[in-house]
Amino acid sequence: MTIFNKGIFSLCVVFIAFTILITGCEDPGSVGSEFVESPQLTFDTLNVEQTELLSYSGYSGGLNFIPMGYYSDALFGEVNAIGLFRPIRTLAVSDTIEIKEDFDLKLQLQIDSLEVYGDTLSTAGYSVREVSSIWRENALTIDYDIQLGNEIGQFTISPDQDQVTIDLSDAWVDEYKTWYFSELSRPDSAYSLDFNGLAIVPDQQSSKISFAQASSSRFMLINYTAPDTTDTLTVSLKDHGYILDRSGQVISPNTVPIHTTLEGMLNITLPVAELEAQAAGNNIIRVDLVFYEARTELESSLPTNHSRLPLNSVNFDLYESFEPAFEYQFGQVEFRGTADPDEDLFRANITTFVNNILYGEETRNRLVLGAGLTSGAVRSSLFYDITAPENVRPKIIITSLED
Amino acid sequence: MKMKFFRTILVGVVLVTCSAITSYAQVEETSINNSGSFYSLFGIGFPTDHNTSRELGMGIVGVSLGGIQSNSLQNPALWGSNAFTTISTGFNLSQFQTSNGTSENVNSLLEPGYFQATVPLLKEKLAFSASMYSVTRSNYRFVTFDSSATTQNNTVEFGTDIRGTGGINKLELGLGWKISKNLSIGYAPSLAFISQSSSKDVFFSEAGFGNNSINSKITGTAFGHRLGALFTMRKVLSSKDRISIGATANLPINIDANKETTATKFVDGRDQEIQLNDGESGEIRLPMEAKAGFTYYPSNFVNFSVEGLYEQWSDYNSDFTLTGNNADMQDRLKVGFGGEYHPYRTNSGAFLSNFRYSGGVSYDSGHLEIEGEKINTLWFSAGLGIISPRSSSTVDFGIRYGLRGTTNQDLIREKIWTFNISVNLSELMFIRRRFQ
Repeated sequence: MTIFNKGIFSLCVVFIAFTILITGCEDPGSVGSEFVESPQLTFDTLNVEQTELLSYSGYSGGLNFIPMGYYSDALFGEVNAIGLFRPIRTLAVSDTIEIKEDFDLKLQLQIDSLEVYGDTLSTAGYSVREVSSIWRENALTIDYDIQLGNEIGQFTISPDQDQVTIDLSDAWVDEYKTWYFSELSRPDSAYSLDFNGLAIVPDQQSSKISFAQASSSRFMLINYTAPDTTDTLTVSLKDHGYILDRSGQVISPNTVPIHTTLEGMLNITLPVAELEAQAAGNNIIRVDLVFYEARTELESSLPTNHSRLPLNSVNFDLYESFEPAFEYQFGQVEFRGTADPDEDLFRANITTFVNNILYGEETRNRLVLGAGLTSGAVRSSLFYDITAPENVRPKIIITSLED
Repeated sequence: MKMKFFRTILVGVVLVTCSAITSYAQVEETSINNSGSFYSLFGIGFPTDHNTSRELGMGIVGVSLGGIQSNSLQNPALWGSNAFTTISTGFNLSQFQTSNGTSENVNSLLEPGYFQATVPLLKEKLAFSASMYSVTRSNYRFVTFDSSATTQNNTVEFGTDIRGTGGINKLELGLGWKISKNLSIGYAPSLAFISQSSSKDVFFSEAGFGNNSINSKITGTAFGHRLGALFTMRKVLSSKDRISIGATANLPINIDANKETTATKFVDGRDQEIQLNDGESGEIRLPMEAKAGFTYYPSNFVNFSVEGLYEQWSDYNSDFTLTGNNADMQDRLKVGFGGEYHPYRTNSGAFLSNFRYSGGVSYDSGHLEIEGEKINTLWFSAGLGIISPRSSSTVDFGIRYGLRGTTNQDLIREKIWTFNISVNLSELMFIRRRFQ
């Protein structure tokens, strides 16, 4: 290599090193950012101007909890909840276990001692009644017509009691035994049609509703394997559920009741024209639908030591015309409204829905406020409606990013 | 051997240059490292020096610096002296060390400077030029943090990544005519087009707000006109000396422009660009520019130049703001002084005698006045040219160190290192010599 070539080569090496040095040292940051106009958040409010009260009968079979009891709620009326239970027809036991024909059957209920609707210090009395009409848990709704037969047992639930074992009448147990040892060719189908289980009916003097846990409640089969020797076997629940009757509910002015049983829901029509006007020239980044809870009315209507299961969240679903009760209870929740306890309100982020309306192909503009639950817990709350004072009316809060 | 190596270097540089130009054409307003000068935040960006590395190395504007060994965009009158078809381009690599007195950042920027082709229609009499170059350029990036109360008891914090790119570019065609051995004139009409973008990506501390992106873009076009003249006189002070006096005028341009603002939103199950308004229409006035200077050639080995430019930025007007609207425009004056030494003409065998050396200093008053402070720049520069032994092709390197701005009024002081490279290919590199 000549001296010239070596020199040129050295120049190239210097050039490459210099390039790497400069490009590799970049560390951009915030120096000078105070001279930049960064975007700011602005907030605008639209009132919800159009609502409609809706009422459905929620599904009540096969849920996690079975409410049982009677409570006269000053705000939400007299609530009477009857629990329904039906044992499986027979047990699948190993050949080494012989179920004697003289076995006994009891009902053991596991009570959720933390959740009580009503007088938490009271003792509630119940009668156990034979069910004489057909029912299936998958089709059971709170207003289902159930026919009751003879009384087959009684029990009480005292404060803080978390379990109760109920003796059942010999006649009812004997009827169950006939199905247990049935020799019909297809006994299970006949059993579902002809043996309707039992109902837990609250005394009208009670003043609380307790909740049985379906997963922990059972029928107990006491098998007399030998004199003075018993073996207790679990007979699972084939069907369970409840029916609920509410009467005498007086809706306070400017408010709407919302129940997890779907008896109280609210159809909301979004003000699309106002939203479009708001979106013109603004960069809307978030839209919240806000409902204020009538906390004063809720709290003032409860006597000391009485409790009401509160709503932890509310649902905003698209308005459905086909099987609405099923959709609102078991369908996918479109927008979940979460509680802001500091401000006594529930807030749902409905940005995607509004974006679809303003910029997409969404033509629907109705959302339904509800609290449909799949757990079976009976929760209720009261919300201010569009006729309430301005500061607690349902509203739409629009957050824009102002460039 | 020397010629072969030179060709190898040039071919390599050309390949890299061509690929870079292709990329640049596709995303015209972006750069590889796109955080440049803080002061490009204001107005339609910072005025760019679309000079060759030779001119930058001397710290001059280039309106009076002629010669068949390099091409120049600066004065259309210079093109009339061209004997060969030429293609030239240049790149700038800059590092900005920014400080506001309490904290520092380092930004770097790699950007193409210009592209030019000239074709002599009549040898050393009349030539045609086609070029594309940037006039102003925005290349900034900042991260800001802010917060806002959403409810009585809740505050959402958000950070914003703010980026700006683009500026005004010109696509220029022109003619240079050497009227006599002493006088040349030139005229270059151009299509000026603005494509300037500002992007703001906003990130919130709460998931419910999502992440938002706002993009604003100003676009528009207008025609521009540039005039140039060059007066050359020999035997001024001695029998071997020469002096060239050049001047150009760039007429003001009114660009009819539109501004569109879009935001990215999740609509119908996917992210979509949503136009936030119907678009704004307005006008941007790019001010008049005048350049003048002279170059004195005492001998064939040395030359000195004193040149300057004046831009009437007080006449600038824009109906748009993207960001950073708290600056006033003032008239810009830039003066540069520099010299060149051409040892390669001595036919010496020493390695260091194979090049062209240059150096200079310039002062730029800048076009910005912020918080009462004028944003000026002092440049120190040096250059090195590699001359093809058997053709007029050159590769020029320039390195500059600049001090811009002030930390007064919480402003920004920038220490700038800039490395420039220009490649000037004459037709003799790839077409057999037809003259001489």
